[in-house]
Amino acid sequence: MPERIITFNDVSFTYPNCETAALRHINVSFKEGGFYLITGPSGSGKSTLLRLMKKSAAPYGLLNGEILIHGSRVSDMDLKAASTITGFVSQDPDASIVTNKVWHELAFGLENLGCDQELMERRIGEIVNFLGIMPWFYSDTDELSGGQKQILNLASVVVMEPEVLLLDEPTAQLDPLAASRFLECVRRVHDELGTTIIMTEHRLEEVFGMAEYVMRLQDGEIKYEGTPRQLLAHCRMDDPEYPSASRIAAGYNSVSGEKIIDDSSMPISVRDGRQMMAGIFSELGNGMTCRSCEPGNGMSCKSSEPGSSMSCKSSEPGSSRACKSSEPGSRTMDEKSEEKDQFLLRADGISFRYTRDGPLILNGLSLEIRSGEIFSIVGGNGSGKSTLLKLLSGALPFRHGKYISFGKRVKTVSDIKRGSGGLVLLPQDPKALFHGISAREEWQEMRKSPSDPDEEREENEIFSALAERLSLTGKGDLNPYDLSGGEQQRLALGKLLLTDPKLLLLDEPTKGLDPYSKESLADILMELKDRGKTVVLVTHDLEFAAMYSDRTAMMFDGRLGKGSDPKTFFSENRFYTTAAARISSGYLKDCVTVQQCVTALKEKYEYGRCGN
Amino acid sequence: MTYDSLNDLHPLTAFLFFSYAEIITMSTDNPIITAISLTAAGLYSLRLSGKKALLTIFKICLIIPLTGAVNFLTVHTGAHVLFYLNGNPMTLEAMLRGFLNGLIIIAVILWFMSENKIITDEKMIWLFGSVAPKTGLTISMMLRYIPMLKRRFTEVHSAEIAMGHDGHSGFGKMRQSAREFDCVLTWSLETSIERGNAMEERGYGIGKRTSYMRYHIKKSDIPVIAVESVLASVCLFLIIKGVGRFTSYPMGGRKKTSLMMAFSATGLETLLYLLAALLFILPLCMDVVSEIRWKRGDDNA
Repeated sequence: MPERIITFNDVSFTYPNCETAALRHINVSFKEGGFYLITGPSGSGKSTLLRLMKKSAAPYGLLNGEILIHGSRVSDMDLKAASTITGFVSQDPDASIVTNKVWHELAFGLENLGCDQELMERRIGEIVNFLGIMPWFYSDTDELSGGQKQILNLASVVVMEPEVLLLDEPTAQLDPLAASRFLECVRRVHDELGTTIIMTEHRLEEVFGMAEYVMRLQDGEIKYEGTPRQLLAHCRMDDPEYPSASRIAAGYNSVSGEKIIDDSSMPISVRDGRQMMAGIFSELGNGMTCRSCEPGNGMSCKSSEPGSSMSCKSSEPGSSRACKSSEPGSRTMDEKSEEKDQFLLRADGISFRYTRDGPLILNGLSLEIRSGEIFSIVGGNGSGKSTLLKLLSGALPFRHGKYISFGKRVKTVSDIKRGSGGLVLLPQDPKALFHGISAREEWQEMRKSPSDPDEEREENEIFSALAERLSLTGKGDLNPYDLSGGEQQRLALGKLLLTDPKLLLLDEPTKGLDPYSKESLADILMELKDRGKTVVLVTHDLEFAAMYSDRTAMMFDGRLGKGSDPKTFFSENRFYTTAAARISSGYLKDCVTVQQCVTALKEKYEYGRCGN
Repeated sequence: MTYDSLNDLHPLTAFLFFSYAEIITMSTDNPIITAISLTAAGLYSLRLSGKKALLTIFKICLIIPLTGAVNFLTVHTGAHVLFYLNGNPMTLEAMLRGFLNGLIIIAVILWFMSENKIITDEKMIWLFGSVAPKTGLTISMMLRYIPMLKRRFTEVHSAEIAMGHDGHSGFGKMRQSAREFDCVLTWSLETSIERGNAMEERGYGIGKRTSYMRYHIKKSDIPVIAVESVLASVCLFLIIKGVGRFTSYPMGGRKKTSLMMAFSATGLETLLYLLAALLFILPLCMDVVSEIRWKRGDDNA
């Protein structure tokens, strides 16, 4: 019978100067050797719950109730016990790395504990082999990729042999491949060492299947808890946190009105999802096309119902002129092609390398950016996507190839039109733009300071309107560093919007955002498009690109493909594509998002029913 | 970097060697010692860095006219007066002495350059770490922060350029740099709190720290340390005793004779030159021997 290691007895916690409690009456216990997942929207108290378990990570505030580890309170634990029983891995790979060499980083914790040389060598040797660190054991910590850094963080904690591993959204800043590898390491630590794992996460696609017990927090309370299967009973199609397969199943249940897929067979992984698809199709018959695609139906746009997703049901192969949903204010393709400045940016044969003997990062790259579109550039880590954006915005010197920006041939940086009427770049870390003490000051520095009360009033109006668009009302007096990740990003975006640009270049805007913040961001991008702006985004997040971009292109080997609409792009790829596409490939045509899959299944269901 | 035997040995061995080489080069103005040191240092640099070293050496040689000029203008002793300037005699000896000083400086610089290649950051940290563990850790942390701060600076700078804040005028550029510096500073201070917490979480401050030693004194270190220390101490002893003293400013006679008189050639001098030469070419010899043994299959390390 596994014993309880950590117990929360009626714990409530309030941050200083806050009215509402961050945690309310939490009663839970964690057993030895379990794999626990804590999920919930931003601000629900997940991080707080996790940090309270570790003495040195615990925030200051008012704590009611007690948290016991092996029977003694967390606050009473001595330093040595506190560092050896629990280990903590945080979100930001860079934040915990202290030394300059990988081997030193691994030894750091052991040095602190005063271990002797032989013990240190043995333990380091062990962990290096266990987690596959040997290939980069001699590297500088600065040279590592994000994924490697996070694995290093994990290793430097595991080397101290803790009983419990606390992980606070560890994959938030990683690209999908690195996240996969990291989670695999965590799984091995759990399975093969028996360490108790307590993890908070937003991206549940992979973790959901690994966890033994899931807890969902909301507003500081535990809303649901149970095994992953039990929690799936609450899954709805719109819930961005759950795995795609479960969401599709939930959507199918809701369109068919009955619980065709019951709780015990809810799919979690892509494989489960495909089995579910097979089951559905064998039940409903084998027709693979949806109803609107009888010959002669052409490009009927089914999505003119308000609120529906943005893609057209026409599944003629090669039809790339996907209809845009006719939300008010959006422009059709015809209007756009009539515009004078059709191409905002045009590049041909651009090549670039950082150092003379370094590799060619961009190799004869060509690209076109049309006015009014949302264009996503996807590609693996290190493919040069950020470099491309920096080159386009003038942050890197442009020397080789032809580059026309806003109609002007670019020879030097000053030829690139930046700021008002031109382009702006939102960097990966929005903190690179922060200079002021308060959020309001950040925006104020983008404008001339008002000289009379009239101008002041005007400025206030502009700011409040912008704050409302960006969901930042009321945060004007806060220090930018006190805002959450999503808020910081929106603040930086506001700064850029104040220059009234025509083209926005966004470098990995979804990095580190929880799914709800991503939806906010998507709303903002849609609104910008309605106002006639153009957006280019570089991202790893394939789901985001599939749902919200007009055109997607992949970067590989220093070149950028021509790109096509997301449906064509993602359904043509076998591996580098959304989970929904992988689930539905071979069964449904051109369905790359959860929404599209469910809509197609709905039609299939109705067709199947009517056809009988 | 091509293989080098000093690299394989314990950092202490290398550190001692370079220290001895540098001290001896600087402690005497005997041009023969300078010449031996310079040749050995040059050859060693070439071996470590290949052809790139030639360019660097060439650039460094530009010091010679500089030191020559400085000595020429400031020192007025010497027998061969070339001309008078402001009532001060400008002598040939002063100029030659200046050039020789330049050569000493170049030799020392070359030794330091080679030292830099062999004693990498980690070894430096280890050297200090074993004596003062906290200092070693501090150096390691510094070496971690420097590239990270550089990266942050470039990120902030890129972001500012992309917004159009170029800082066109000279004054504008200064203001812009100050802005960027401010941003990086705030950013780093804010994240340093997290880092402090991270250190504490891994047990920093619990008690006495040990240091993870990556380098151990091996059997092959001991003869090298012994040889270099013996050679160096004897040379230094002789130098201090006055062997090989070189009179830079001999008075009277023509140039040729005065230069000849500058050297007092006794047996001890020759011993000094021999021992110094052995010391300076020690690593080169070790490398050559190592290459021969490798090719013959005698030694696999």
